Parts: sequence; C-alpha cells; structure tokens
Amino acid sequence: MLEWISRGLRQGRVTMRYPRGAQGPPPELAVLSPAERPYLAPGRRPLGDQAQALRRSIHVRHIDCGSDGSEEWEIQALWNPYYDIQRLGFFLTAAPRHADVLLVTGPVTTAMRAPLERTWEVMPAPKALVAVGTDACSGGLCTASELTAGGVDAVLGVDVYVPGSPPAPIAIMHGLLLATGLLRAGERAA
Amino acid sequence: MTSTAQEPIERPDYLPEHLGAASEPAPPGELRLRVAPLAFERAARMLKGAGARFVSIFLADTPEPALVGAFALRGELLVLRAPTGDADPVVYGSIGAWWPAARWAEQELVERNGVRPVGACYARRLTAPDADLLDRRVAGLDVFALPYGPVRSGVFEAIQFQIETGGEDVPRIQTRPFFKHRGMERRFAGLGSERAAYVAERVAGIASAAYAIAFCEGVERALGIMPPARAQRWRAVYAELERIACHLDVIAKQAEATALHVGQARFQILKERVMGLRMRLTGSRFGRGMIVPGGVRAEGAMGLGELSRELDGLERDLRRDRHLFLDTASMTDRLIGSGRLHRGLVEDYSAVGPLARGSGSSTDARHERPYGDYRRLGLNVVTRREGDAMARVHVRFGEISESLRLLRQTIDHLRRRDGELSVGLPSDRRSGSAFGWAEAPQGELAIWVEMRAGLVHRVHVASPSLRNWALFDHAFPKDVLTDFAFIEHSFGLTPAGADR
Repeated sequence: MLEWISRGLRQGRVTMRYPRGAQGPPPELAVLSPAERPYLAPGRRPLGDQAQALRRSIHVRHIDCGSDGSEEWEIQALWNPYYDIQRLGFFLTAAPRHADVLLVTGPVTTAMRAPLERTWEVMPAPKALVAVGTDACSGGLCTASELTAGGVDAVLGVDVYVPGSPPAPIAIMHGLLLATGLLRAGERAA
Repeated sequence: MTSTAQEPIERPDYLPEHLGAASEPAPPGELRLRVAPLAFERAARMLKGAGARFVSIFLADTPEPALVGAFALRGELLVLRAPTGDADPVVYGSIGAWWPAARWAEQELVERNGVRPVGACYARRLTAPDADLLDRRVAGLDVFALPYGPVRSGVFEAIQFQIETGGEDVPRIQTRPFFKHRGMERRFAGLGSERAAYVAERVAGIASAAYAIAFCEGVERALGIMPPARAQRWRAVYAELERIACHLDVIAKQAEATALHVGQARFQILKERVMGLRMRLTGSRFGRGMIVPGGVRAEGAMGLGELSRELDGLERDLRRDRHLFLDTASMTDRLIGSGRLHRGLVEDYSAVGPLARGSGSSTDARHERPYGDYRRLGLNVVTRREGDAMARVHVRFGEISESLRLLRQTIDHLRRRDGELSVGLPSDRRSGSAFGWAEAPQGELAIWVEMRAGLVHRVHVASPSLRNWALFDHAFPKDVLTDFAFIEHSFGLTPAGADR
C-alpha cells in the first residue's frame, strides 16, 4: 500500500486546468432561460442558489436511456484524476433520492422510459436535468420511432443540453456547472 | 477477390451427403452452404459435433430471403443458408433448444421476426424487458429476489440482473439485456457505405474502431475490393489502442470494486493517456471518423516518432503499476477463484474474447481468421486456464502488452514504407453480401453486410457482448453476492453492443 501511495506522490498533479481563451468550452452549449422553459416544474430554477447555500455539495445521479456506451466513459472520466470534478463539489450518488442533478444519456428507449420518469419523480426539488450526448439532446441517429422517444426532452424538461457524440468530459463538466448556476451561459471559468 | 470468380468449394467432410448441403461461392475466409430449411437443424448439429462455435442466426435478404446460421469452424466462417422463399412464418427445427449459445439469438429472431423454431420454448420476453417483473424460481426460507438495474449505482450502462439470494450465496441470476435496444441495425438501411460506417462506430461506442473495421471489411468483401496495406496498418493501430483503453478501463473498475482507490486512479490515468493519444491522433477521443470503406480517411495527425515515444512512456508506467496491482493481496484475494467458468461451459455458450481466453479457450478472430494487417503480424494469443476473475485480469494485462508489441511493429512498418491510404469503391453500383469480422476488446465481432446497387441494404450485428452476457447466469458457482462487482467487471462487456 505504501508503494501505491509513493507511486501516486511521485506522479505529481495531473489534474487539468479549466480550459481558457480559444480553448474554451464549446460555444454550442445552451442553457434555457426560465421564459424559454415554461414547462419546467416550480422549484427547478433555484438549484443554482441552493448550490451556493450547499457550499458546492452537489450530488449527481446518472441514468442510461440507450446511449452507445461512450458517454458513460466520459462521465466516469469526470471523477478521474485528470478532471477530478470532486474538487468543484460534485459527488456521484447511488440513490436518486439524494440527487440534485440527473445526467441522462441516450435517446430514451421504450424500456427505459418508465425507469427514467420514476427516477426523476423521486428526486427532491430543486433539481436539474442535463442531457448528455447528441442522442440525448435530439435523438441523434435514433430519431423518434416506436423504439425510442428521440431525445430526453420528448419525455422530461431539459435544463442543459450537452451535445457531442460523445461530448468531452470538460464539456460535461461545463454542463454541470451551468445546471447548478455555478457558471452562467456565455461566462467562462476564471 | 471477387466473390463470383471463385470455384465452388467441395462439400466439407463433416456434413454427410444425405443433408443435401450444396456449397456456394463466397468471399475468402467464408464458407457458404445451402441447405433446405428442414435440414437446417440437423446440419447445425453436425457442425456442433465437429467442434463449431456458434456465431449468430438471423434472416438475410440477399441474394434471396434466407435463414442464415453463422458458425466459426476450423479457421473459416461457415455460413449455413436455408432459402425460405415466401414462407411466412419461417419454420425450422430449433437450435437454441439444445445449444445454449444459440438461445438468445434465436429468441430475438422469434420475437422480432416471428420465425417458428420447432421444439423451442421461450417463456420470458427477452427483447421487451420489464424492469418490474420478478420471475422467482428459488424457493426457501429467507430467499428473496432482487432486481438490480436498469438504473444502477454508479455510472453504468442499463442492464438488469435479477438476483435470487438468501443473503450470501447466489443460487440463481437472470441477466436481462435489451433495455437499450435502439434499432441500430435498421439505421444502416439505404445509406451509402461511407455514411453507414459512422453508424457502425456508434453501435457500441467504446469499441468504435472494431465495429468500423468489421463493417468496412464486410462492405469491402461484399464488393470484392481490398484496402491498401497502409490503410490496414492504420486500422490495426486504432484497433489496438482501443483494446488497450478498454482493458485498462476494466482493470481500473476491478480496483474500484476492491476499494483500492490509488490503484484505480493509477489505471484511470493510464487510460486517460490513451484517450488523449487517440485525440491527438484522430481528433476523437474514441478514434472515430478515420476508418471508411476502402481504407482510412487520413494519416494519423501525430508524428509516428512521437506516437512511439508516448507508447514507450505508457508501457514503462504500466509495467510498474501492473506489478503493484498483481502484488496487492487485498486485491488478488478477491479475484482468485471468483466467478469461475469452466471450459466446457464457455464452449457450450460459444463465448469469445478475454472471457473465453481466461478459461483456456484460444479463440481470437485475429488469429483464427486473420484479417487486415493481422495477416502479416504474428499474434501471440494470451490464454489462462483457471477461468476465474483473476485469470481474466491476467489475460487483459497480457493482451495490453501484446497490443503494445503489435503497435510497435505496425508503427515500424508505417515508417518504413509509404503507400496509398484508400481505394475507391467500385462505381458500377454492384450488389453482394459478406461477413466482416474483427476482434473487439470484448471478443469476436461479426457483421453481416448486404449491399444492393452500391447502397447498404441490410446489416446484422453478431456482437460479442450478447453471446458473453448469456454466460453471466452461470458465473456464480461458489460466489457470494458481494463478489458481484468483480465478476461483472471481469466480463468487461458493453450492453450497447448487445442490445444494439
């Protein structure tokens, strides 16, 4: 075990800085204003305020609704030493009842529709939903059919869309920051 | 090279004459036999007796509607074709009834296409899973059934396991795939082959390169063209990088399951380095968009010298971490003896990939039916005999080393000789059908491609994940519920590939 730790110490820090300038977050990330999303349930807006109050202790839950598997890798990567999203106060939680943010991947297949709705329902307000990946944003390759809903917003209201097939971890991180109000649309992390 | 120019092959010795099997011309490496639908089951039995491995069963449309069974036998892919004519429903003797490997593939065919295999009895709907359905079979005091999934703790793909347990031992596990069925095979229909390659990359995202290679090989073999040597080398580079990334991911997850957090972080760092390498090489962290029918789109964007230096550094760090990993008793104690799969079981289920190679089987598509650059590269197939989770970790470590060796060899070839990157697709809008295959990190992947007038007509994906998941029901012979995570990760499969 000591050897493990000494290996880790010798490695030094690998965690990336948040990209800046020309390397900044992809511009197509969009967060909807309250006027644009009248369908949202009351209580969804203040998550950002709560994020401040919670001193950056946001619990994230993920649900796969038919992704191609690569989005899961990129979400998992957020907790690896390179991106280390825990330093920003994001934690993975196993229970939807503890979750503040729901990450959804995939175009929502028929079999996953009910589990998705139920997961969202039991999450306490205020809460936010982030669609991760092109499939989740618009259906992507999987347009609406009897097999898939063709995007998460056909089932539930989406707060932040993170497009990409799959989006890079840094883009998902940006989406999470937007969803929790730690960052506003168009704003860059210092 | 064209499929029509070939001499008909003689009937193989393992099929008796009275079955009336007639051989048909086929692309090299593929052996096509035509039988009557009524002789289909008996022919399959003969093949099993001769030691064949089941690959898939599906309905094909080119050159005529037919029931097709695919089997791997003696370095060839044997395609058993039973023309069905206008028969609706298609009736034949069930294969899944006596060959466990064929059960899921046949059941999928029954539920989606309405074929009628005589003698089969499939109770539970496989392709329309119900997350709330409990199907208990184990009786006893304190035995409870636990549906685990499709929403699971952690960031995992959707699949459900129904676990029946008295608390510790696990008398029965039922794996339920197809929560993620998106109808990917249908997305191919009517596309030009180049656009269809993008779809192929997104069937199972973590094995993009393998899916793209298998699909492109299928198109190329159906159209009778051969990609240039340099393109084949680049494809091997992408495929081996993908294998390293997938295996490192599995090993990091094994460390996570044993709460060995430093080890987990170490292997995640190594994996992230491979992802970054692919990003610099191709512009995509998953190496997408480079493999197209006829060859590759471009040279890698990174200098070959730099690439090989990066790989050297990776290998150096990996060697130390691997040594530490295999030396950590808290880790190995949990893996040794867990999830033991006997060779007989593995062969009965026609399992493929590191899972089969950990149980003493030496199946590897790169070795059995070499394709692309693997025809020139000598491959050492890594196998272990123990069949437990530890053996599968050893196989994965061995394969990473082997992949690095192959990469070095390939980079050497790429440096020494220049050449074309792709050949044009034939402009005569020809038709044809063929299997393309590749060894994905999860195991042997075969994709049936039908081309009509230059466009993709129908595609069938025989994914390694679907075949291997079926074995999960038997992976807990002496194990307890807390071993679940190790055993699941040691399989290293992707539900996206299985469900399509």
